[in-house]
Amino acid sequence: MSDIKVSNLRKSYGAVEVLRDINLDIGSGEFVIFVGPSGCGKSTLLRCISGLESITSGRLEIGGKVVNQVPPSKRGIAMVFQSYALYPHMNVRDNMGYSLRLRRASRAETEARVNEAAAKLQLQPYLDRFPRELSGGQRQRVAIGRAIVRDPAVFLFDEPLSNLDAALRVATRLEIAALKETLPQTTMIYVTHDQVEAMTLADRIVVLNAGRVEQVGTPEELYEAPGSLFVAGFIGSPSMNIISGAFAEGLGAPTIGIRPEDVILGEGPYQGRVTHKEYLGADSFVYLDEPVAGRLTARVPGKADYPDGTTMAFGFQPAKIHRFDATGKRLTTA
Amino acid sequence: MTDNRLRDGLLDAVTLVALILVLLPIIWVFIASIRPDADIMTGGLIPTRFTVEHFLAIFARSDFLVALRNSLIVGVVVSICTVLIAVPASYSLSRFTYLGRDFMGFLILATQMLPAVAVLVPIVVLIRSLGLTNTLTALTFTHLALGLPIAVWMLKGYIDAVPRELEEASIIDGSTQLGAMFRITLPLIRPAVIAVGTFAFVLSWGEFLLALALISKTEVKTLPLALQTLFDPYSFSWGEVMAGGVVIAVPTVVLFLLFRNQLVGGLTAGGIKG
Repeated sequence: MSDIKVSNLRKSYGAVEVLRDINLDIGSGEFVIFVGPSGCGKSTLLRCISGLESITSGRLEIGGKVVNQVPPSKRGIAMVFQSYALYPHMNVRDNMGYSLRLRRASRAETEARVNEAAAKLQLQPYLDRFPRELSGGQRQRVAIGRAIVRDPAVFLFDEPLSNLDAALRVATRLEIAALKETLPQTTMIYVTHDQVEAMTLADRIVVLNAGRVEQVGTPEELYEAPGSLFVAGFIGSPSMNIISGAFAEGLGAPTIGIRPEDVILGEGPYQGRVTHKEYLGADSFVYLDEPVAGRLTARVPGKADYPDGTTMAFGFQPAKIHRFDATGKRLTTA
Repeated sequence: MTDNRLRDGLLDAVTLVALILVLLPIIWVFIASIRPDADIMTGGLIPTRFTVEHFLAIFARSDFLVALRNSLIVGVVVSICTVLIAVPASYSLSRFTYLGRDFMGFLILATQMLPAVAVLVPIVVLIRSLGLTNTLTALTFTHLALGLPIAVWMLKGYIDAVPRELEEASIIDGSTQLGAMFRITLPLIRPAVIAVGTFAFVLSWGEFLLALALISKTEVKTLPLALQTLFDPYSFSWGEVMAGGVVIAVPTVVLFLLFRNQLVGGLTAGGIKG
């Protein structure tokens, strides 16, 4: 049992309230990702769950037990830090076996578990090396290995890939996905600001904004039916086109949102002037200027052969229009 | 290319001059200590005759041996106590948040604003009123007070440079905050701890002014005071004075040689990467 229940959790630093009334239910074995802009409180929430930060008020349960006052080492968690946090004066073997030595595990057990984790992460050739002798990717694998060795009920990842280059990030992301497959009973909570990581890894995503939970849902739910304007703008790259005013009113809501891939170029009731294009290989982004709606982004497959300044027709499928009320909440009916 | 060579040459020359200025008196003391008295003032810098009689003479003096023992006792105790007090004090200033922490840090630093001479009289009055005059305890406490502020601030700088995440990782792995300090932070700042201990020893070993003010009895004199007694107007020997100087210098030189790698590491290490 490694389910996590967060009830009315608040965290303040003096007069500054960083987390406000957080309520979350994370099932045992679930992979949940916290996303949100910088300063939204996602790392603080993770640190509250880990026990590295105390909770100002509210309740935190792990495996059915209230752990508000339980020290981090007794919560059955392991954490992978953004900066790896490998102990520089210990080699990989000692780094990975550190928690077991603290627990006074036998030498044979420590050795066996370190070797098992090293095999899982292809770290055997590096066991006698020091962190300074490893590449960024290898260090991150050691950090994950150190967490695996503890056999935790809950895995916490604090932006584990943000120090890696783009290629390595993809490779390590796949490794984490594979790791999750091998640990089906382990609950994983992962903090990132990279929505590709969130969309590809998560069973469910928790979107945080200004210390509040904005929406919780599967990647598909968040993408297909964002509950608020904030989520609509935050999830998806390039961002959803958000249009207010007369143009939106004409489509039945104070504010509407249209994903760039749902903008149909070349046909439709509207006219826009092409201001700029970005070619990405598999597809292109076309930036349009519409006199009433303002600037819009369209995503088209392949290369967009429209000269800048061309005025062209565009439109949207009605079913793909997301409608929001004046407070930014999603309207369920058109 | 020529400009670079010229610049390098000039820099080398300046370094050489600085080195000669620093080393010449030390070399002179060492050479004079192994030359007969007659050659010290008359001969050149290169010795032609050697003798160990100056060393034999000062080691034959019981007051000098007592002073050597006293200096060693005070130096070692001051060094150990400096480390034992400065490590937790600097860790607390670096890692914990509490009311008055910054002010306390400022007060520790503020003690360095006054030269030792300025606090000499109050210290002497204080030590006298405590009845500790002419005791090694008095010297130990005053030397500790002299060196601790710098030791605390120096160590605080090194602890600040150790990422907190390392300790947090250790806490999650199962240690307490103190356990993380001993198992993670302390090994990482070991060069700085050794540097602080060495400096405390050197400071105590060579301290003259407070010793002069607090000590008058032969049995509790330290080496710098004993060296002063060698300047005896009735039986004065430059060779013995120089030999005394060498004896005073030897432990510090040995310490620096023993810990040179750690000291250089302690003085230059900036941050620690994981």
